[in-house]
Amino acid sequence: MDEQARAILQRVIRKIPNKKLQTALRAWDHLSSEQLESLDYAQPKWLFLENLISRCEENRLSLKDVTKLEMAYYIDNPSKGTWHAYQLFQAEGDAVSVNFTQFREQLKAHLKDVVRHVSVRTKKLEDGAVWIRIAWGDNFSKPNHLKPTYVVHYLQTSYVFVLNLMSKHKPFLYQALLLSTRHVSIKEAQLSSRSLTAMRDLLMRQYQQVFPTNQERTLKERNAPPSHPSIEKEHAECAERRHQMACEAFGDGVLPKLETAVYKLETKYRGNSNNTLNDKDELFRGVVMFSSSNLLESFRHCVSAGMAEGPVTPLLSSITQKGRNSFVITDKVPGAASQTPAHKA
Amino acid sequence: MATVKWPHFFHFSAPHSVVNTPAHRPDTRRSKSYGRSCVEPPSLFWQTPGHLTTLGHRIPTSRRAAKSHNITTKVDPEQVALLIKNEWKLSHVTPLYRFRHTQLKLYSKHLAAFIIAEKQQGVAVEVGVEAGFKVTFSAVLGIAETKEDAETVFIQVHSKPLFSADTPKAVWRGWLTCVNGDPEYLRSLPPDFVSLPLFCSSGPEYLTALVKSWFERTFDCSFGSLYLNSTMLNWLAALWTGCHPTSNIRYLKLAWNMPSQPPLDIAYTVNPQDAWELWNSIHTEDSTDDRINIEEVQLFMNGLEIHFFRHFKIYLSAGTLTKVSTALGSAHHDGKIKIGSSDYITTLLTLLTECALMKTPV
Amino acid sequence: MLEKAGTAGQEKQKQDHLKELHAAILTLRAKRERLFAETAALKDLKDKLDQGLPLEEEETDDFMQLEQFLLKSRLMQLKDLQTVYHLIGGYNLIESKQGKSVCVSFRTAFEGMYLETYNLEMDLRRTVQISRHNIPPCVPLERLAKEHLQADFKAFLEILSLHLNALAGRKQQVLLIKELIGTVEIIERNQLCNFLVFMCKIQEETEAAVLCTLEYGDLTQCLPTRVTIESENKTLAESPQWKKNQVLLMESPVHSALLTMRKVGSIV
Repeated sequence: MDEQARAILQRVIRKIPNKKLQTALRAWDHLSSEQLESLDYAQPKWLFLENLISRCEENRLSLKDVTKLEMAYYIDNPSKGTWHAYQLFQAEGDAVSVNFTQFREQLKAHLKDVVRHVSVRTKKLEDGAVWIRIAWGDNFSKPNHLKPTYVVHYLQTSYVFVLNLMSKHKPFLYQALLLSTRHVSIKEAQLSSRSLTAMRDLLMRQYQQVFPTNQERTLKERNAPPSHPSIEKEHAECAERRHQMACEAFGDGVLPKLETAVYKLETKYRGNSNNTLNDKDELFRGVVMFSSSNLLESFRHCVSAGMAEGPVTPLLSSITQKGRNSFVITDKVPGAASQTPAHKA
Repeated sequence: MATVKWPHFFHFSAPHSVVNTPAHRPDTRRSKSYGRSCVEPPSLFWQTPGHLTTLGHRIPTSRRAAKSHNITTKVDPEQVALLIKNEWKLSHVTPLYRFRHTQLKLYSKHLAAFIIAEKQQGVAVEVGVEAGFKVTFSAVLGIAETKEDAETVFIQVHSKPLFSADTPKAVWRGWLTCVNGDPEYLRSLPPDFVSLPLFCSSGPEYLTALVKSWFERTFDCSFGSLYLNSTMLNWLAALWTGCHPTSNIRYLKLAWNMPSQPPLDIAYTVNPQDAWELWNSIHTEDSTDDRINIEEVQLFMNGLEIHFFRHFKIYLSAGTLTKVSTALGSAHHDGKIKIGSSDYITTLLTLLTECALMKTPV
Repeated sequence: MLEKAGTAGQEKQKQDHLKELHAAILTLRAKRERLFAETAALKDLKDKLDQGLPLEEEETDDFMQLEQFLLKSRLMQLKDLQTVYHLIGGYNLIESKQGKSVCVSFRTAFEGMYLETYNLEMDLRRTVQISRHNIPPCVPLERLAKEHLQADFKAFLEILSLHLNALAGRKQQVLLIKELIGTVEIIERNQLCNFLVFMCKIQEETEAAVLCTLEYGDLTQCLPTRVTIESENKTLAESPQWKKNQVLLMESPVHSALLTMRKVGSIV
């Protein structure tokens, strides 16, 4: 094993908690069961690592084998680091018929066309996710396996999730993805999170959305008399309406675990009507950052508990509707007093 | 009982009574944690527990606008640098009995001995590799603003490493201060009491606990956590924003916590120039004595909250304002502060001294 | 005595019953007369309306009534139509947000079995725009909307409904293969279920197998547009039996084709 292989092995082993080591190495499937049993998993990491390296050397394992272990670690722990979402646009006619084998071959070929030294490893999981590990080099240096980029793509969808991509490599990855998925353009989706699962569930709509499908209720609501004889009933109905509104905006049940949303406000000051700042055309600039262990559930609760006024502002419902958590808010018409701010990509 | 301001100051209605110096007091008094609670006839105290008043009744409704002044001309810059470095946890302290600024060397020795003894007894849970502790008390002259303010006292605890070649490392810092304390209150203190109501500490919790415990035993005082309510945070937001033309505040960051399930944190960072313009549109400067009214402060904060509401439809009033920060400093409602610039230290400490005094039972 | 009293009682009961029946006949007759009259009046009124003749004062009241009846019957017709659409796997429209948006729900089905329901909420202010939906990301919704949404709303809904039904059908077929024919191993499939590769064992004892690749070029259909048969044993793939199987796979849902193939002994 060379220096890089040792370094990667060391880094991966350090990240895996002691009690999960055995399972991880077993899943890796590069050591015999005797070798696995001969290791003492309770040892301090540095000592364990030495023993592990000697087993790996017995088996003449190479850098390639070690990168497989690293990839398996990231697949099991997709919440290490910040993922960024990208969206593919303008699918070509044959985009829907791209299969995994074609995709893999094309991606590798296109990357190798532009970067001489690049190492690409792919794996398709049960749920259809294609995981890609790219170690970048250039014309003069070998691929750097210590800083690989991870890419996750679900074939036939327009979403790509990327971890650890340097801006100098961006054009290469863009081009290779466009050619191998048969699309014309790609853009950043203004969604980033530590949780790959949350981003995927949000963009692919894998959570329980609420639609106004109960016709009886909509009719009744609209024809409801203006006042109710029982105030209590009115309160209950009010609370139910708020809850319905909250669920329609953010979803029902367990929601994707998005942790933050950021809004850059570049709008005119909207204070009290008698405030002098209202007369000015200048912008009132600021940044609002929302954070929670589950942002969408927090917003839903705020709305249904009456801490936020209904109907839910498009600024907040855009998180689910547009699948974004980073916004720049500007006034629609500069100079005109517009109450509904527009979203700018 | 013929003196002014009853019931606020009813304790001092008989300043010339038999026991006006604490030195003559019977021993029972020393077990109490109230600084000066038994000068008045006890019957009054017992009958009206609800009247155990605090200075909280005297929250000022206006203050002088923050003025920059280079404090390093009066105070040793090295000492000022120490105050600026850390995040401080705030406590309030009742007046210290028989504290003498002339005895700081002796206190250094006593506190060091106390810490070592407590550690050996195993009372303190933390067991480090330290061979011993060195404590230094020093007076920070010049922070005090009025003649009633006692001089600030700075304490550092250094651990002596096992190998004498290494230099001692500061493991804990703390200071007691009083800036622009209510003069009437300070003058009314009986002799032998020194009021340094604001205690700031930075370092391991167990050392803070030991230092507090030593003070409580030695100076018959009592510590309590000092939380900063939203009114105080509002004041700071307005005072700091007002400084922007003379000293760039870089940003005005306000943080709220909404009691949703799960809790929601909201951080609103306002462009400093825009924040100042909003403040300037509310606050009218009068040339002679630039004072700020509480109404202006509230209008300013309301103005920010309304602008936020117009965008997000979230009622910030349903949550708690938890933190205010600018480049000049930050303050958290759980009682943690950071001092970003020495130029406005007096304004901040005046406000915090007032907070601490409000908490002190009179 | 008792017996006589009994028969007398029975007699009386019969009499009463008869009277009741007579009364019923009379009321029903009266009702019939009234309905005759009403129908005639309405018919008359309708004729007058159709011919554009002026109405008399009392006739206006009848007209209001008529209008209500007509509306009611129209509503019932529409509701029935809606149910029919629903039942044949079409879509259902619901107005929401005080008419500012509309929510379409597509109920999918395959071989008489209801599958997932998908929803699409559209903003009706200014131009029609999709505001949110829970349609699977592999469905080329963006393209369909671009092609049809502004031009022909109904056509858009119809084609989307076809896409969703076909997807649900293809998905269901894959599930049924797994469920019904355990010996068939699925090698590759994708989210859109428009590409399916599976391996069939020919005989229990040997390793001999056939690799079938199904491509669904028309995304609105449940049947493939291309079927490829491959095997290490070239003669097997070219055999008339497998030519037949290829046609079978082209023309019937994959799980039923495989069941037939098993019945005739092509696969195990």
